[in-house]
Amino acid sequence: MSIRNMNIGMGVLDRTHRPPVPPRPGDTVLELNGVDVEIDGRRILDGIDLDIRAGELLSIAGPNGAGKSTMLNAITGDVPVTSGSISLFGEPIAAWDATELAMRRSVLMQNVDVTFPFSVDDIVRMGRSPWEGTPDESDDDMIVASAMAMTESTSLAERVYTSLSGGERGRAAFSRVLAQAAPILLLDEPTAAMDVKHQEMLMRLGRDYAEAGCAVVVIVHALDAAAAWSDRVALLERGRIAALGAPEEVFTSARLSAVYQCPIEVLRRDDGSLVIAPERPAVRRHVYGRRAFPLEGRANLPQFDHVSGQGKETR
Amino acid sequence: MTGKETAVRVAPRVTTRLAACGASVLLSAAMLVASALSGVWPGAASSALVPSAYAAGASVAVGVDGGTLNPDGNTAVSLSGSGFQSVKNGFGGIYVLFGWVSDPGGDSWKPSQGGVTGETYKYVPDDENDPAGYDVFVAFPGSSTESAANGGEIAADGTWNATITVPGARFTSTDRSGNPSDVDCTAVQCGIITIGAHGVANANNETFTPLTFGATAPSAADTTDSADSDAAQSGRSSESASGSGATGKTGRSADAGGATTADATARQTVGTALEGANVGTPALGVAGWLIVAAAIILGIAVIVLAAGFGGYLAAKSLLLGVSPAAMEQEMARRERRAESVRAREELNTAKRRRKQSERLAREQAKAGRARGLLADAGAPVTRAAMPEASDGGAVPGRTMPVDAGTVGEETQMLAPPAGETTVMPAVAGDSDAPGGVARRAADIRGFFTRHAAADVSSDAALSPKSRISPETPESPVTTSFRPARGGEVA
Repeated sequence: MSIRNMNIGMGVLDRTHRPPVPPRPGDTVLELNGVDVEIDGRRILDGIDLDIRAGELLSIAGPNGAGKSTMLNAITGDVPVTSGSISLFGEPIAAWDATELAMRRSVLMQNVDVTFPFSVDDIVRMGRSPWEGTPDESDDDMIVASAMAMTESTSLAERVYTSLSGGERGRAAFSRVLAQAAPILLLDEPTAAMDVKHQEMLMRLGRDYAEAGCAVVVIVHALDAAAAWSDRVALLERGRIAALGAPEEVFTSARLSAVYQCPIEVLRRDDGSLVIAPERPAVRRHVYGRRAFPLEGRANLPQFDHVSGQGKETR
Repeated sequence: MTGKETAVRVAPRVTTRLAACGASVLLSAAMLVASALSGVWPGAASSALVPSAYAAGASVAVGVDGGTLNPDGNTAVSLSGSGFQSVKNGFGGIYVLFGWVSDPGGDSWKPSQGGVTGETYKYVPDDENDPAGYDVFVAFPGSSTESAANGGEIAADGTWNATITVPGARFTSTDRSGNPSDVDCTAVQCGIITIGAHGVANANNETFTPLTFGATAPSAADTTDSADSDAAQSGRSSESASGSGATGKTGRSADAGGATTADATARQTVGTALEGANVGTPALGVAGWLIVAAAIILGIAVIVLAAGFGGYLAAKSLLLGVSPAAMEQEMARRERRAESVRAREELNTAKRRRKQSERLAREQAKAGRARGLLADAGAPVTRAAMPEASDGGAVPGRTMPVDAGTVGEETQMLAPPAGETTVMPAVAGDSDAPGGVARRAADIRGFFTRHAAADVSSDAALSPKSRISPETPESPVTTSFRPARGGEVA
């Protein structure tokens, strides 16, 4: 696991690190001003203006190659910014040293691989390393246990990280970034490998964290999850922000279809929540294999009668 | 088993004893060597020789054909000997040879004094089957091998005449074993050698008459003179016999009035100098040799000790491999060591934790002095307060927009989030906030304490459609889901 990917700095026993001042809801904690990023002559980000505020869950959506991960990398300092500025808690990124950065923002990258066979408990504890030597160190045990309980990773505590499935790794890594207890949480597709239950669980935890007064930025592919859980959405298209606002404002059929270049339908339910799904044609099914419904009875759908070799069956 | 153990225990003692014995043996040997060397070094003098009474008698007169010895080809040299001992019907006679002797002015090269061919004298060998005349045999009258003599016989009055062929200035001689040895007569002093024939050493008939190459023919008179003075000198015992002989020769050669060219004298002196050098040992001195010997002994001792220690370790590990009891002892010892290390680490960690908590308690006490109490129950005590904010909880000099404008009247100490070190001024008595979101500082620690006992799995049963309202720290929340409440914050 490279330190870059973990982005938690080094736990140096140095009291000259300035601890973060906890922000109040609505405070701008992270600001991008006219940020341009060019890699190998290609302009990946073009004039990004974004304010990230405490107490808010901001989702960043967009098609592949729009620059979402690059923007996250620019915020963490892994990618140099060609022009423009990024300020963290009012000061440029370079004004903070590594430990101070780690105290202020925790990052979960897409790649959660680890080189060495650490146990999950060790990995979650690594998230506490910026606080080593500070008075908050005494909360380590409580916070680590709480973080693991929140993601249902307590049963994985003694497991070796490299033996976990993708979803379990994602949850363990999420526990680590939670345990870091930084006021800004940056997540790059945290639910990529997870089933729907854990995906919802993680999004809900992110929401809770935002409501505790922190700023949470999530890059998601699942537009309906973004619509359901976020306070604001930034839609990125080819390095620019195509739209920025509440999900209801940003996620319209026309805009989404244009940005993703795929017909997308946005339906609004009665309570105001959004259902976002691509427009799919009705598929004529060819069912050749065996069918089984162990829990319920067989669904008596006439159109499938001719398929089964058993003919019409009464239960 | 015990035998092996005792063997192991004995082995180190034995090894060290062996090492000690070896060292002492080496030391005594080195001492002997040093004494021998020291004995030898100043002992160039010990080659003092008693001159042979007869050596003064025998002499050889040399007549070079053509006047000069040709350094690159054959030169015939006529010889006439006188003063030799002639043994009627004696076995053998004399060999007359051309070559180099190690001690031209003295007797140490002579076979009667222990000289050995190839070492103290080297002569031009001749082919027995096709003799070129390099070697001449002058027989005793009536000798059994007289027929082989190509130099005639020694008359009863000790005279003889013969002709020898000198092959040139450079030749290769062989010693008894057939090992070849090159001789360059322009670099060393060569001449006519006479020795007893057939291996019968006869001091009376051993002579050396020096000859020089490229020089104008040394007249018979000159060579006779030099031979006589040589003989005379060898009658005297001298430390640097070869040296003085050489200077004497050189002096006379110069007096001969250009008879010898400058190169010839140079060659002669060089030759004699080389001969002188052959006698002595490198001038290192007693102290130097002692130091060398000491260094060698030190090196050997170190090697022996290292070998001994290595042997001990090898024997120990062998024993461990062979004997389970010893292995268990070793494992137990290692366990104990690991335990002590772990215990020490535990102690250090405990000490550090204690220090942390003490520091925490101190800071809490400091904050407690500045704490303002709230009406609502359950406001946890703050954990850390920076010195700048500890003066009575005054508002730090920072302009933060706060609702309801009640800054400074009452300071509400909240459960600070992890890492907070400043006191945030907050809105007190928030009930007059118009139903909006209260602007309180982020409560990250509270987030964790709330979820510490959370049973997340129960949330799945709740309806996902309910709106989530902002949390309040006072309400005992065990799950993160609440059914829709008013947005009111107490």
